[in-house]
Amino acid sequence: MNSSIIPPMLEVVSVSHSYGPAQVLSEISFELERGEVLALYGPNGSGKSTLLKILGGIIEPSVRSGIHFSGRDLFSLDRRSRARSIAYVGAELRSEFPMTVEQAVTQGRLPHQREYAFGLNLKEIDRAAIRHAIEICQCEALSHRLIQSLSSGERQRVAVARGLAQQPKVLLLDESLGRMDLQHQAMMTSLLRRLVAEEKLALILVTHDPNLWTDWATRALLLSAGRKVSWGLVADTITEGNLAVLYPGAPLRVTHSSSSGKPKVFLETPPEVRS
Amino acid sequence: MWLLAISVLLVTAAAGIMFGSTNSREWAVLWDLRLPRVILSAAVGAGLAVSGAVLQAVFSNPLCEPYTLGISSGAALGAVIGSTFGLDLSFAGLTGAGFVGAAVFSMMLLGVSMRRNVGIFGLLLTGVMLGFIGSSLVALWMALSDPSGVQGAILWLMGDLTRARPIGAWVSLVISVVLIMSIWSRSADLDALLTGEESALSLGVSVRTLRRAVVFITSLLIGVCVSGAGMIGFVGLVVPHLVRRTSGSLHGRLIPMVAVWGAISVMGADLVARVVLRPYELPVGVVTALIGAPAFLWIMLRTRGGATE
Repeated sequence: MNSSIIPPMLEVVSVSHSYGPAQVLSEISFELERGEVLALYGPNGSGKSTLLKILGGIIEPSVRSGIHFSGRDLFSLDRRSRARSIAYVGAELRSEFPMTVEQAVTQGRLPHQREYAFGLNLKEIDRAAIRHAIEICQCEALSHRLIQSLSSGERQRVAVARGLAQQPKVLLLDESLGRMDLQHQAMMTSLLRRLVAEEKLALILVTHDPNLWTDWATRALLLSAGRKVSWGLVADTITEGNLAVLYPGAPLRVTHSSSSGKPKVFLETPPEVRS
Repeated sequence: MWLLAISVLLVTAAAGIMFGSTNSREWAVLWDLRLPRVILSAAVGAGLAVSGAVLQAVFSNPLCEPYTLGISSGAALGAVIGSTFGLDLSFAGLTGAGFVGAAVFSMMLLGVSMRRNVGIFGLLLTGVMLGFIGSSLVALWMALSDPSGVQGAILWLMGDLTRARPIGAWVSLVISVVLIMSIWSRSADLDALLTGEESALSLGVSVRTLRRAVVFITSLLIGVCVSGAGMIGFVGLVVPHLVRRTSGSLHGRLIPMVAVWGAISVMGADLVARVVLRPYELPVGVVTALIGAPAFLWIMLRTRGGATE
């Protein structure tokens, strides 16, 4: 009878990781379905990035179990098929060698290649994916520039474009919007919202600015020192009580939008600093 | 671009066969002395330049070159030890001793790379340290030896193509081409490493396996080059950087281009070494270093000025 139950797309059960003796993640669990957005939130060193890198195949967890993608153990998949399903975008895309934006985005097609010995053998479907990713991330004007010559915010746009060219089912963004200007942050969040709504992309993001996601993320996972503080709907997790656990002593206030009821987080200026 | 590279290659090769430290145009001189020399210099130049290009990518470090991994010091040590036992009388003897030295050092390096806790910088540092150990032992061995016994080895350390012989040169060329092809076939994975290790991992590349394979193949390649022609510096550093400026960094295009220009530069340097002070010859390593070092400084200063942060 259980066979009729469809396993969650991404299921993380009690994942732990340590760098040598230092335990950086302990027994983290959550689930993610298509079209959902999960925000990982917590102070520096709380394990958010480590968790994201484990999911993205960059770090092998010291305990090698407990992560399932569509019911299959993530570590039984070969690396390339995993990269077709899950794309990790870091905070920086840089190279020591001359490389154009278009070349960098093109690399997103690597996991989709069958034969690629002497360089990528791009088919029309690959070219279309590359063009599309460059276009929706507004990188057309940059496409023939060297990534070395770009500002860090522009490089982040290129990194997201490469992640989207990978055409993943789950996109992991690790501080990938933080250096964009406000206009491009707004463009990028509305793009991501559209991909989540229309193409059922699942998204996990790490940022230090909660207001980038509180009004559209599905769920939030709050971490402190590698442990779960709270997991659930955004409105239930983003509370002044939880934030006080994450950032003790920080004067954080949570207000709620009168129309949608979504939380917003504000950092109050301490009285003695006011002029 | 290819047309230019191939034409320059052919012209350099022809000039290398036609001109030498003597004006002789006898068939025996052209066929038995100069042609093998041109062939060997092409094999060595292509091998060194490709090793440099690929090591730079694999270690994400533009300053890497074949000698950074210390394998050449191993070859040098082998050759110096071999020469005190009278092996420098034959091409095969000194080459063989050099290759054994290179093989021992690259096995040590591979052994280190197999350890799970050694990362990219650990491996690079191990190579540099092996290099120091090797060159110190060379100095120690020379200090303790009879000076006349190590004369051949000293010449060889500065780059020496005079030992080229018909069969040996062709064998070196074939081995060099096969190893270069095997590196070239990994182009797409190498491209993914251009934006760093994390980036390659997120694209599904098995970075550890790739790095191990490339270090293994390049150490064989360097072993062939160093044992065939001694220490020829700067080709592995300068040629890849220059070629990247015109061909870009993607390895599918870069590696064959680097191989051709590497071959041209060592053939050309050897031609200069044979001709400028006729009838005396300069060590070819001196020529590549004297041309290569200023060229590299120029590139570095230009890049520092041009790169924006």
